[in-house]
Amino acid sequence: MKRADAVTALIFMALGGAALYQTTLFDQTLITDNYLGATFFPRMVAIAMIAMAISLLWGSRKAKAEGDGEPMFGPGILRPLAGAVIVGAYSWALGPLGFIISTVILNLAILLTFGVKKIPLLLMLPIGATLIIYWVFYKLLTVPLPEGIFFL
Amino acid sequence: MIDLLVQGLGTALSPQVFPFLFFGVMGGIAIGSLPGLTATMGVAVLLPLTFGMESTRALVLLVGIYIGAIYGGSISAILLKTPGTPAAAATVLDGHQMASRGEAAKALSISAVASFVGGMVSTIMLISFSPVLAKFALRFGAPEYFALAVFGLSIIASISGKHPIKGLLAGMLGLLVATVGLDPVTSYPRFTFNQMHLYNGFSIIPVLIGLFALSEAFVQMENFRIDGKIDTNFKRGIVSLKETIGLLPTMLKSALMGTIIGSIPGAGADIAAFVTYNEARRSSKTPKAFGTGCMEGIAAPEAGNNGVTGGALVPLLTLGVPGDAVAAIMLGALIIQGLQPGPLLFTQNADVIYGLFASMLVGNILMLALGLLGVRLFCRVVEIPKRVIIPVVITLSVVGAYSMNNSVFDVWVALGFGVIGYLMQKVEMPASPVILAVILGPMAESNLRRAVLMYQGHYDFLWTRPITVAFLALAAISLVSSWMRAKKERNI
Repeated sequence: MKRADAVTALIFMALGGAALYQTTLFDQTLITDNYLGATFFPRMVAIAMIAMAISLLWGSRKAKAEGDGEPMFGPGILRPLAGAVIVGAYSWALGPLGFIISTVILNLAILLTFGVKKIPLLLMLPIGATLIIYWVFYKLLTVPLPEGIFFL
Repeated sequence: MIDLLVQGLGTALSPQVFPFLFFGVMGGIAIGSLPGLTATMGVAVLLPLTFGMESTRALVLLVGIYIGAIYGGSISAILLKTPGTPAAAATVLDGHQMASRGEAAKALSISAVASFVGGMVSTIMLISFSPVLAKFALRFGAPEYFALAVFGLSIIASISGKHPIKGLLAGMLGLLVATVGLDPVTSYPRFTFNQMHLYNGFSIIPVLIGLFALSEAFVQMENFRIDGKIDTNFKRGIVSLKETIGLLPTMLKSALMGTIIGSIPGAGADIAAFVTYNEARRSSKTPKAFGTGCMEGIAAPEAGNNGVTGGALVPLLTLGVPGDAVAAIMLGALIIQGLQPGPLLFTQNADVIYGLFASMLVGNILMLALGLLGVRLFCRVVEIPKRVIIPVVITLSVVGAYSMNNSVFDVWVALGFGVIGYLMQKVEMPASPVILAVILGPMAESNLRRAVLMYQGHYDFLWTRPITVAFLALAAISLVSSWMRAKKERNI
C-alpha cells in the first residue's frame, strides 16, 4: 500500500490545489455575504484536503511496503474497463435510441464481456430484464424513460 | 386518548382501510429496494392517486409506502451492496459483510426486526410526546443545525476503519463535491465551469449509485472467473430470539435517537442512520467488530432510520412544519384532504389522526411480517449467478440514476463516481464518508454562514447556545475516541 498511498496523496494534493486555485477566482455577486462568503467553505475544505494528503504522504514514507509487489489491478482489469466504456456508450445512446433498445444492447454487451455464449441466455436476459424494468419504472412508477427516435 | 386509539385501530383493520395499508407497505418495500427510488419519490409518485380518496385511506396508503420504503432500502444494501435509499447507506457497512459470509438471511431478518422496533418506538413517541418533541425541535436554529452537521461529519473517522486519514480525505472529497453548484447564500456558481448541468450541484442518488453499486459491479467484473461460483452455502437461519433480545438495547436507543433526529426539520433518515451507527459503535464493548459484519451494525442504523418515520410527523402534525422531504409531501396530502396541520388537528380531526397513528402501528407489524416472510425470497438474489446479476445491477443502477431527475447527465455522474469508487476500493479508501459529507456538507455550510450572519460576524453561538455546545462536544469526543481507537488497532 506504500506506493498506492503516495499516489493517492499526490492526486488529492493536486485536487485540493486545483480547488484552492479555483476559489481565488470566485467573485462576489449582487447578493453579498460580507462575513464568510462563497469562498470560505470550499477554501477550508481544499486546505484541509491538502493537509491530510500531506499527512498520508508522510505516513506512506514510514509505512511498510506490504503488498507493493502485487499488481493493483488483476488480470481481469479489461472487464471493468469494458463495463465502464459500455455504460458510457449507453449514456450516450439512451437519448437517440431510447430506453428499450439501448438497455437490451447494454445487457447483451455486458453478458458478452463475461464470455456468455449460450444463445437462450443472451436473448432472454437482455429482453426480459429490460421489459421488466421498463414496466416497473415506466408503467407502474410513471418515470418518463427516453423514447428515442424509434419511440421505444 | 386510548379510546381514540382503539377506535383508530378499528379503522386501520377495517376492510375499507386495511388493503390500502397492506399495498402501501408492500409497494414501499419494493420501491425502497430498487436503487434510485427513494421513499420521497415513492410517496410523491403515488400522491396524485390519493386525490380522490377518502382522507384516512389516502394518508394510510402514503404512510404505508413511507414505512415500507425506508425498510426496503436495506434489502439491496445487504444483498447487493447497493443501498436502495440513502437512508440505507450505513447498513451496507455491516449488512453486506454478513451476506458475503453466508448470513444474508440473518442480516435481512435483523434489518426487519430493527426497522420494526424503530417504527414502533417512533410511533409510540409520536402518539405520546408530540407536543414536547415539537417544542424541542423548534429550539433548533442555524447554530444548532450547524453543530448537528458537524457531529454527523465527525462520524467519518469512526467509519473509516484502520485508515482514518483516508476516510477523512474521502470526506473532504464529499464536502468538495457538495460545494459544486450555486452557493446556498449568495447563489454564486462554484466549480460549475459554465456547465448548466452543474448549477444545481450533484444529486445524491447518482453519486450513491456510482460509489456503491457501479463500483462494486466493476470490482465483481474484475474478479469474475468463468468457473467461479457464488457461495450459496449460507446458513439459512434468521436472527434468533436470544440474539434479538441481545440487540434490543441498541435498537431501542437507536429508535429513540432516530425519533428525535426525525423531529428536527431537515434532518432525515440518512443522517439518523449514520448517527445511530456511530453511537452504537462508540458505546459497544466490541467496536472493532463494526464494519466486519456485526449484528449491531445493522440493528442500529435500521432502527434509527425507521425511527425517523414517526419523528418526522411530529412537527408536521403539531406545527405544520415537515420534518423531512416525505413529511413535506404528506403536508401537501393533508392540505389536499382539507386537513390543516396544527394543534387543532388533534381535536377537530381526531378520527383521521388516530386512524393514522393506529395504521402506523399496524403498518410496522405488516412490515415486520412481510420482511420476515420475504427473507427466503430475497435471499434467492444471492444465488443468482454473477454473470446474470451484474448486468441487472448495472441496468438498475443506470435507470435509478436517470429516474431521479430524468436526466442522462445523472447517468454520467453515476458512471464517474462508479470509476472513482472502484479506484477508492483499490487503495482501501472507504466510500461511505463521501456520501455522509455530500449529505451533511450543504447543511453544515449554509447553517454556519446563516449563524455568522445572525450574529453579525461574531462566533459567540459556538459557546453560548447549550444544544450547539452539546453537539460540538459530542463531535470532539467522537473524533478523539475514533482516532485513539484507530491508533490502538494499528499498534496491535
